[in-house]
Amino acid sequence: MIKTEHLQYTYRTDKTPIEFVLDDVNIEIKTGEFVAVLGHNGCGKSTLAKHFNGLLLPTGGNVYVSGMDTKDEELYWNVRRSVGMVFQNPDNQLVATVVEEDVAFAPENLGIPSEEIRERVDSALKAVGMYEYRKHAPHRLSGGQKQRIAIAGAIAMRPQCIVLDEPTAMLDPQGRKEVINTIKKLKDEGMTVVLITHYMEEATKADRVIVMDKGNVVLDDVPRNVFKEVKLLKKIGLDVPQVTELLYNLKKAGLPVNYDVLTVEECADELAKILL
Amino acid sequence: MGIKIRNLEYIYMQGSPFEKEALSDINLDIADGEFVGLIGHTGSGKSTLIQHLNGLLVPQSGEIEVNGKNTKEKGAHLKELRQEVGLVFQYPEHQIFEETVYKDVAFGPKNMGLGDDEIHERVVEALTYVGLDESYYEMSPFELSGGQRRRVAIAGVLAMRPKTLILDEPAAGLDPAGREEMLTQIRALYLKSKMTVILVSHSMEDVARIASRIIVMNDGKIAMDGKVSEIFSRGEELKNMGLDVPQVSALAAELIKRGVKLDSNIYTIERAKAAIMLLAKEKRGAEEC
Repeated sequence: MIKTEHLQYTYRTDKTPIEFVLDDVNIEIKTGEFVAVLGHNGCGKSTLAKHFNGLLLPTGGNVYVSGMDTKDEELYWNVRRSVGMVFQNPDNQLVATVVEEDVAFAPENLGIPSEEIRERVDSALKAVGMYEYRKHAPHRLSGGQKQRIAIAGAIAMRPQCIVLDEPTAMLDPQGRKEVINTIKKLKDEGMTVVLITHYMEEATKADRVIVMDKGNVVLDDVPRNVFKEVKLLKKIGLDVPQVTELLYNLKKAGLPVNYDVLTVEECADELAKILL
Repeated sequence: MGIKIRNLEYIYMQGSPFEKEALSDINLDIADGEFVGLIGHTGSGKSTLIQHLNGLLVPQSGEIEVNGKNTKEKGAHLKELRQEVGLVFQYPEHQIFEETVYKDVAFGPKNMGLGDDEIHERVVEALTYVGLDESYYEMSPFELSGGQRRRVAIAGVLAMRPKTLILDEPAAGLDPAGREEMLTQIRALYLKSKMTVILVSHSMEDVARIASRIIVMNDGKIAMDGKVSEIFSRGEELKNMGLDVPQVSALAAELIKRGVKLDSNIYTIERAKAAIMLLAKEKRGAEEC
């Protein structure tokens, strides 16, 4: 679905020496995969995400979206249509005063016939569970609901992939849950999903986790293997789920436990072995 | 003195078709020097409540007294109140506007009409609190990282030497290391300054680690108010309000359900570790006998 080859992104300002925001990134995201991208602020993950739909173009190497080179100007719009983006702040992404009009914004701009727009808007709103709110005013919805509208707006373009850049950073626990459940549902329906997040527990739900540091990919594996690297993750300013950290600390203190757990249940299973 | 709220009510757009009761029947006492975590889902009334504490909003009905001052009184009184209660909004780095870090932090004290020496002393103190040394003073805030800019904005509030500091989601959008640093600094600041701190957060893990008392808002009312251990032992109720408990509290609840003799007062990794180490030791001891 998305492939980067020796992707490099550099820029310089008058004052600073040349900055390698992305430095030889080679990754491939398969169709239908749910990939989480982790990394501290400034590690290059948002820059990477913006390469996935041609918002940024590589200064070195190549990015292919469904086989299309993002640098090819003739394919520009096809690339944008293939990959929808959702950003952190829902309030910055909603443009209309009625939910369904907001979701219709992108298909309208694509010049799609109105019956088809109707159909796309309805199915997008149903996909995120917001169909009953189609006549509501977006600004009166909760954060999680707004973000689901933003997701509906992206999928009304009928992309093959959506990229979400910290979509839950400004949400309360309920809102975070709503957004993550929506993402999982889209994935189950065949959508390719790239989720950038600072919440380790969200990343545990992905098929695969990519960890970035200083413009490079440092880990790329299933969540269980990634979160086993407690020491490395902490060193590069990241974290692991609380249950993983707890077992890691207990093991260090000499208890016979495995710390390759991701959920409360798995952790309880592990502890029950020594406590019951 | 502290903060005293009696029968506070607030309705947005009163008299219009969009009328919404944001706060109802709020009664609350916060003593000097407390560290309070304020949690609640979006729209539960947290922001409306904190805006009442420095007079940005005035009670439509009920009374608020902050350090003996009624927030309904206007004039010099209100100016004093605004100095005593420092409010750090969400994403405060968006409010930075001066050319240098130093000038930005000096803006508040300058407006208070203080002398240059006093201003200097306060700026240095405030920037030291947030961990920015002299090398940053003459830098443009826009050369800094997002996390550093946020600390400059917080220093701007600290330079007013408030008695009460209210922080609305100070760690939102920061990465785990940035989050950790921010929380550690707030805690250190609290211990050194003896300020009253009210921390609004969507992260249960964060409030569990840092606050000693938690107030839970739901639909404009105070739904719970108590010690951290009491609040996070009520996981089901919190979930029904769109909130959650720290993952280790959920773990403790699960282990208790399975018959492990744990107490429900576990809400940090450190506490969980200590309790489990103790249990494991007891069990080993029992087996050896």
